[in-house]
Amino acid sequence: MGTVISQVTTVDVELRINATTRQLALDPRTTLLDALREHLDLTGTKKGCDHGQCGACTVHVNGRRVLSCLTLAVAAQGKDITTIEGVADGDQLHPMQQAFLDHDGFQCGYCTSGQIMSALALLREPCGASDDEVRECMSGNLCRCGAYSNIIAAIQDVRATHAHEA
Amino acid sequence: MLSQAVLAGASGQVRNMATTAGNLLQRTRCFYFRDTATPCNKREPGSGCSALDGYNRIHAVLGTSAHCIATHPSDMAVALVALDARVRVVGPAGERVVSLGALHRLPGDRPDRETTLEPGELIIAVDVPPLAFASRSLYLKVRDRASFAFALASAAVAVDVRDGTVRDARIALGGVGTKPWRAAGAEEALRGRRAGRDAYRAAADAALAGAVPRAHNAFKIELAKRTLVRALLRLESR
Amino acid sequence: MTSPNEPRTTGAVGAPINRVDGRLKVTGAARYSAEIPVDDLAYGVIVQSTIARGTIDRIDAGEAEQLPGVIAVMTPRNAPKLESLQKFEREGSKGSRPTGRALSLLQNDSVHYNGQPIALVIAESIEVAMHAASLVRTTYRVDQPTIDMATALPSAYPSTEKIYGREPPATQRGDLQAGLAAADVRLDVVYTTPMETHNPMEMHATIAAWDGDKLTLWDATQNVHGVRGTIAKTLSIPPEQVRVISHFIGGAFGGKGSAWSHVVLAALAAREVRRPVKLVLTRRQMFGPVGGRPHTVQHVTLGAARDGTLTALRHDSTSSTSTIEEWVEAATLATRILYDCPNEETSHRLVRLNVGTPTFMRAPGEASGMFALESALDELSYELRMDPIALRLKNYAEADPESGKPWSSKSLRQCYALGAERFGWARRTAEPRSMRDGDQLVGLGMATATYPVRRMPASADACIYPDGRAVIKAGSHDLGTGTYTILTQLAADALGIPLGCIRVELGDTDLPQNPISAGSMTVASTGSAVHLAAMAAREKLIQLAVTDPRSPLHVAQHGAVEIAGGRLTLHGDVDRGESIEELLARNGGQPIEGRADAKPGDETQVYSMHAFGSIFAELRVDPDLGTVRVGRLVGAYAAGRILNPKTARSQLMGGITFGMGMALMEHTITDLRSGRYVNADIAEYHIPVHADVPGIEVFFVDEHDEHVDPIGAKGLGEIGMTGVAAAIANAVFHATGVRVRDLPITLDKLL
Ligand SMILES: Cc1cc2nc3c(=O)[nH]c(=O)nc-3n(C[C@H](O)[C@H](O)[C@H](O)COP(=O)(O)OP(=O)(O)OC[C@H]3O[C@@H](n4cnc5c(N)ncnc54)[C@H](O)[C@@H]3O)c2cc1C
Ligand code: SF4
Ligand code: FES
Ligand code: FES
Repeated sequence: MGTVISQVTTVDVELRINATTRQLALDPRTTLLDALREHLDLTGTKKGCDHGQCGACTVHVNGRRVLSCLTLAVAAQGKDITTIEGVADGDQLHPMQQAFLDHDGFQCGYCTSGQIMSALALLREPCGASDDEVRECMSGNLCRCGAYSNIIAAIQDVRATHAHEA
Repeated sequence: MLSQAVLAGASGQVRNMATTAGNLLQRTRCFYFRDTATPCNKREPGSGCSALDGYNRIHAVLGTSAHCIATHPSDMAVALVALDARVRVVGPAGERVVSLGALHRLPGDRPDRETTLEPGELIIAVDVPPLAFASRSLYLKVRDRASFAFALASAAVAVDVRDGTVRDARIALGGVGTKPWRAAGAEEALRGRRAGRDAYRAAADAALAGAVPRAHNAFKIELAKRTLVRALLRLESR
Repeated sequence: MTSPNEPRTTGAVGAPINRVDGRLKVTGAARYSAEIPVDDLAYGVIVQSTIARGTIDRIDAGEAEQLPGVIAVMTPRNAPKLESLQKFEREGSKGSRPTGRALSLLQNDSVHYNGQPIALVIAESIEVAMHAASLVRTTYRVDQPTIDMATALPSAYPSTEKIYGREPPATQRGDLQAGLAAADVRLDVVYTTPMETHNPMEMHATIAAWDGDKLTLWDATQNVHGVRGTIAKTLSIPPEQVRVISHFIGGAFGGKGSAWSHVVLAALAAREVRRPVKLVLTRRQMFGPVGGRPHTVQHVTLGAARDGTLTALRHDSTSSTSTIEEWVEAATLATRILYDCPNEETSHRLVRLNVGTPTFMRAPGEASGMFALESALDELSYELRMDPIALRLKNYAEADPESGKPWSSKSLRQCYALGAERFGWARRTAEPRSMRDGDQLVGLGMATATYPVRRMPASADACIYPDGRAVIKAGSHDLGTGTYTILTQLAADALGIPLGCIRVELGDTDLPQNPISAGSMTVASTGSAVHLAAMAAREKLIQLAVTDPRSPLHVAQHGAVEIAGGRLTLHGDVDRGESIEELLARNGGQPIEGRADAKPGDETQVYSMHAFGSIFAELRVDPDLGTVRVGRLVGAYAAGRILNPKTARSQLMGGITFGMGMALMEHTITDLRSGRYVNADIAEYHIPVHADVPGIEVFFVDEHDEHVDPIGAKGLGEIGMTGVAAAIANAVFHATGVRVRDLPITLDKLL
């Protein structure tokens, strides 16, 4: 098993993530998710399926929540990308993060970044006020630990006090 | 109806990313189609259909062939086909208009050919003609969990009832057909009848008249009928 | 086990504090195994078999190897031969298997299930590795596999090994036939549960890096010391040369308790290519190669007198295992202890299928077994026209009916009462289909919950530093279970040091040895060790103070010294004392260390130890469409001392949610011809989503148990899962009059 030294074709990609511009040379097939996790050491965004089925990879692109596993990095150029690492203001947690902490809206924490990114987007989406409506709007974010009830409590807490300022 | 169908599909994040054309033309969720290690006529023409005698609980009962029984997964397309929508297509030969009912093909012996689009043709717009009674319409989706799951059965219905008599109806079914399924027979069965459970059940029977079940999906025939009846009853009570 | 200086203040323990690792998790800063920055990483992708049984005829990696960026392709043709396995084979498979589980390490050409690892591609990037993996071409000599549990059932054979090395595979007490003959009412039914897959949100992941002959594994495991042992034995290297690290785990549920094939393959690959290798399974690869819950077919026979007294109870469970390893789903263990029935028989049998070897999955045995037992009790309650709770109380076991031992504590009666009250059980009308909400059928159902208290040896270090801070070290794990948090609380109280001044280190074989974090054992095992280690450090600190002539506490009665808020004071005279910093600064500025090796005592000889609870479900069934929507799930539990009500509630809610998935949707489907895992993703393997999960309410019954362990806590990781499937099935029957004995309860079964 000899080591093959070889060249992989790459393209130059420029991404604006959390208000910082990053230059990368990437395999054109690289998803935004893998660009974040494997090339930029922004591992807060999680991979739970790689196929749009779990929501763990949710990030904001131009303010809308999307799945980074279904987004090619090259296609995310020229857009504003926000990941979980860009949510807190320095040491000051965003109220949504604080609410997740206070309501124990997670256990293993692996779905948490995606849940929080979805929850933040919800503050700007036309989602109804009831718990059931929030549950429906959050249904693209799976949590195998079963922290759902606490997540809804956290979101409703924030929505009650911070709507429209995400 | 259309907005209900759109919102019934996938999740918030997926919907934020999806395009209308992409949704109409999305590929089937047939397990075997997506698992490249198994034979599939749609993926690899002539290799065989693993679903026919495999696990086919999610598969279609309408429009199937001996070569493919894959369900068309779109919710939106079901509403659009009920509304007589048309897609505008541009290609090397210029622009043309295709009715939604004619956009998807039945699998027949070529399940790999899913649409009537020619190579190089792109959908550029979807036109939904005005329907006088569109305000009396709804989309009902039945699935294995409360959200973020494909339809086992769904119904898009619009009904024009005057003085208790059905004047006109638009009915399409999802989750049960190899393409977004316009149930013309059901519409026919309703026209001129007194609105009510009996007429709805007759329409449902007509809609599923040609259904062919396989080992695990026979329940879909009854489920689809009940879904349609429920949708019509719910419309009536609005 | 009370020491003379048992802390008098109980500040931190029992308080609903936020998770100490919470901030890392809500900011995305917590690093899971695949996220450790390691230089010069190569990426591994596993290639899986596409047949269920047979032999690899040809495996052609030529095209894959030619792909730019591919470093190597490991196949059975070129993979390094493992001496440990060859020895095991030579010795006729006697002795213990070096790999623990039967793994697929490319040592031979045989294929035993569809999806078995048969090759590993190592490349410069994930993209290249994935592409190359798709280019490996394999041809097989195919043998007829056995896939279908139903048709293979006649081949079932009795399990003979002790379950978990401890419990007999079969039991018998009294005279079953006599009990049946004496019964007024008999029930003889079969329940089945399907294969299920853990599907933690984090896929299994390993980074393997060699430094000379030393191996470091960042592995998504709930068992660092176990993985170390397995890897060392398999690679024939001393355990000291293997370090396993697992700081954060994205859910485990039992599936991450063993070192599966990919862990060893990552280590082998890293050694071959002389670079660190990262190997993350795909979601599809989580179905088969890393275990799951097996299929069970459970035969339950009940006999009862008119007044509800059980006269006979038989529970025979047959579960599927693989063709390469025996693994028993211990479905009847709960049956043995739950009801006071004089005539009882239980047994476990196995059927060999060409599937991946099953393994522990949240409440292994109890989850599936109690679906059967607690459904059967419900069926009996209708036969007897008796309230389901009254029936259970009628057969309440005041002592362990199997062993005759007294319970270390049991508060099940209170759990029934509290659960029933909070749920509003009294409004239930007994008749099926008798309750409605508009056109929806309403169903109310309940079941008992129970899970044994188990404990294993565990060690911990507690170190108090001259700056007044403390560090607790234990090679245990936090799977989302709250281990970091509750250990901090235990240490804070034992040491008298504020929560914020304590750091807990977990998940590293460089830390004191701890058992697998499973079976709800962590609190009892590691919690006890940490408590005792912290108490030992506390002792030393006090000893130092009372023997230090310059300390205000000099010659004070040892037992009269208290520590709180980082200060040592004399009991009753808070002004006489000093801070830990002052004391240590005067005494050479050296840290104080306490060490404890905790292990179970003879309490298991004397007592039967279990946690108990009750679970209630309210749901609505659409009479036409068969859809089930759960509206409320209410559980009441007694599990000894609750160290942190906030994280404890979360554990129980999580278990209940998992149980709801089991009841209504979870089902790993295999193609009966090819053995292919059909729904091997999380769009088609349904787990509950937000919209499915109602308000879940969890209540605790106060329980004081001084026998279970030094901290009086019983563990909560699995009990929440037990009974849920039955409570939901019972509620579905109450709503519809349809008894579903075959999980999951999908709508087609209710049409
Ligand atoms: C987990 C999951 C669950 C989902 N659940 C549902 C559901 O319940 N209901 C539902 O309806 N959908 C569901 N979807 C499907 C989702 O809505 C589709 O992924 C989406 O609609 C596809 O849109 P897209 O724009 O990404 O299409 P793409 O993936 O980009 O395209 C799909 C196909 O359409 C072709 N195409 C795209 N645009 C054009 C065009 N302009 N002209 C010609 N051809 C074109 C592409 O070549 C491709 O073959 C789900 C998806 C996922 C991942
Ligand atoms: S049903 Fe169609 S898509 Fe599915 S395996 Fe058969 S041919 Fe392929
Ligand atoms: S990783 Fe993107 S949705 Fe699961
Ligand atoms: S917290 Fe573990 S998956 Fe949600």
